[in-house]
Amino acid sequence: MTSPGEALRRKNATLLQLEEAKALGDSARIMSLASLAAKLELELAESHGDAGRREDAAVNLVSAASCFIDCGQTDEAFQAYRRAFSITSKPQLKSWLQTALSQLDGSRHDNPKTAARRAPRSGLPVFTRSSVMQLLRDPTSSGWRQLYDMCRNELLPKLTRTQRDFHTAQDIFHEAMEDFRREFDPVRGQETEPDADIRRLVISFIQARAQKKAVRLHVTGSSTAPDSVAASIASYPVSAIALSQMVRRWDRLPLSWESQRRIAVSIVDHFGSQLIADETKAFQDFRERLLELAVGWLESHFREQHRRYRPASLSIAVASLVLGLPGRDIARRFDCKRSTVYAITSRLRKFVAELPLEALARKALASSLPLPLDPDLESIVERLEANARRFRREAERAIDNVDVVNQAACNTLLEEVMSLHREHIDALRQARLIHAHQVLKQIQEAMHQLQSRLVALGARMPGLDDS
Amino acid sequence: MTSLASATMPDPVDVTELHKAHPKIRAEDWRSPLVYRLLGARLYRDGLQNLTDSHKTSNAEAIEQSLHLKWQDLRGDFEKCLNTYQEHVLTEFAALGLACILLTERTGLEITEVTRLGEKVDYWLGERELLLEVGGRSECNLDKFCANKADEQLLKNPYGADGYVCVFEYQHVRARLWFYSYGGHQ
Repeated sequence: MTSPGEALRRKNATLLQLEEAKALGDSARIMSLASLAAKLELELAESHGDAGRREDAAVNLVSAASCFIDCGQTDEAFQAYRRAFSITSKPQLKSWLQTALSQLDGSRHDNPKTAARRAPRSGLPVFTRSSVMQLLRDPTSSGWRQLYDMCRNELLPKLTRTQRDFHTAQDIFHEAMEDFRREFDPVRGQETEPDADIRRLVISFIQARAQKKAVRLHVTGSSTAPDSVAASIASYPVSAIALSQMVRRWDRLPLSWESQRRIAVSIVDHFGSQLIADETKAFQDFRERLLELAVGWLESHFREQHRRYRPASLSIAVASLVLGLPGRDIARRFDCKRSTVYAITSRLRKFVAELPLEALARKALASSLPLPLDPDLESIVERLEANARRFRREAERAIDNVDVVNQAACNTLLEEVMSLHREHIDALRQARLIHAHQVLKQIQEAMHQLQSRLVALGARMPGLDDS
Repeated sequence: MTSLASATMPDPVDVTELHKAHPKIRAEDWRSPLVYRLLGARLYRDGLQNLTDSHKTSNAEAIEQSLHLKWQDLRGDFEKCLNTYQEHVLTEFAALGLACILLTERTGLEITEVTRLGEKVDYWLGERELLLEVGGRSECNLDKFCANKADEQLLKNPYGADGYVCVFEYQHVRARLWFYSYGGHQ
């Protein structure tokens, strides 16, 4: 919370801006400024209340209520007036508030929209079910326009206020989506008109959720093809929370596989390696969904070309590729042979390179989590490590036999060999075979140097063959 | 000669600096509208104008005085304002700007807080000590206008606060800043 002085300055400025907006008739600005001013007034009221200045708090509550009325939030205005009524001890203010409360209550009863909003707060508000579905049942396409206007003007500004209001908006949105899918079958070619609004609705939903405030939308383009929904979503930055909401309700969106893929790719592009590393629920959900999608995309293509692999093995391989899980973990988890996972994964890697999945694959691979290791290669690594240990023992024994003056230089050479050896093993484990090969050459050179030095000093040297 | 001149002609009040005595609000926005009303024309020029004002505190007779108002270097802001606001808004803002000047010059009070009551905006003076009600018109009977503002608005405030009414008739460049007590007595 801001300091009272700062809140007062901001509130003064906001109220004056609100007056300007009212004078200019700028309804969008009036809504947002009135909402902000009300919030600041409530902060000030709270601050006065904390300091025991009850009458001052009442003044701010009255002002907050006026602002709430300006932005159509009559429930909140009613509550603010009621709070002011309960804390003031001035008879004239009590009397004034009584009148204001009865007038406001009357207007709330007269207005069907606000009457619905006075419904019990448990469960889904009546506002969602009745008025929205009524609009959706409107046989003319203007129902969609009304729905959009209603969500934008009356509901989305409320997203800033409470979680409950957000659920209301969310419910409206998803009902709209379901209705859209049911009523406007693309096969029948009727999606053109409503899609434009749905597209905006989707964007406004996500953007409002992401920014946690009502937004003025600037939707460009006039394409109304179903995929334009995906394109529009993809063009907006998505927050983790919006991502979570999006993914959970993914199936309700009337999106083609290709649209889903495009959304997924845009999300991967946006979040990058955070997608792999972040353990929050939103990202876990997304990874699971991504996996399903990847399996769907890849199976459909891959199975055609590689029919001999079981779908389960294929899914596991995709999981290891997309999620970057180590092959041994996947094999253990799914009780399947590591060699199978490796074989499929290596083919998948080649296959993915040919699919239009560059961004997805690049991100997944860029996170460079360990890839499944070829069982043959793994046994080689184990042998190499054993040999390295033996090499060190023999080298140390040989160095012990040279004079003290030359021991330091020999030890340095030995450490260099061992360091290169570790780098070599790491490169092999990460399947960076070209790098591993380059390091191996350096190992050979370093060992040769050590060998020459030890020979010159008359000491016994370890053999090079073991490498 | 110099001392005589300063005695008969006090230093003009700078409209361009009216906001400085009211730092808690955006009073600078009201400078150009006030200049517009003082100029009586849409074409900006730096200038000087005499204002006749009536000031009345509690339990005192009204005092008629005059103020010399000057302004300069406001062309950009002036043109922006005229391109943005409608006439009635400009009038309201001009009255607010003048209220700032009169409060500073005649009472030393500061507008500290903007508040809303129903459909309209009110201004608190000092530590919520007094309320301010402001109005402006092209041509009017200041007596009636001021009394109406007091009876219909200021004295109907539910806080029981006393306050000032500041009204401005820009056709004749006349203004009034009168104190009203909540009890109904001026």
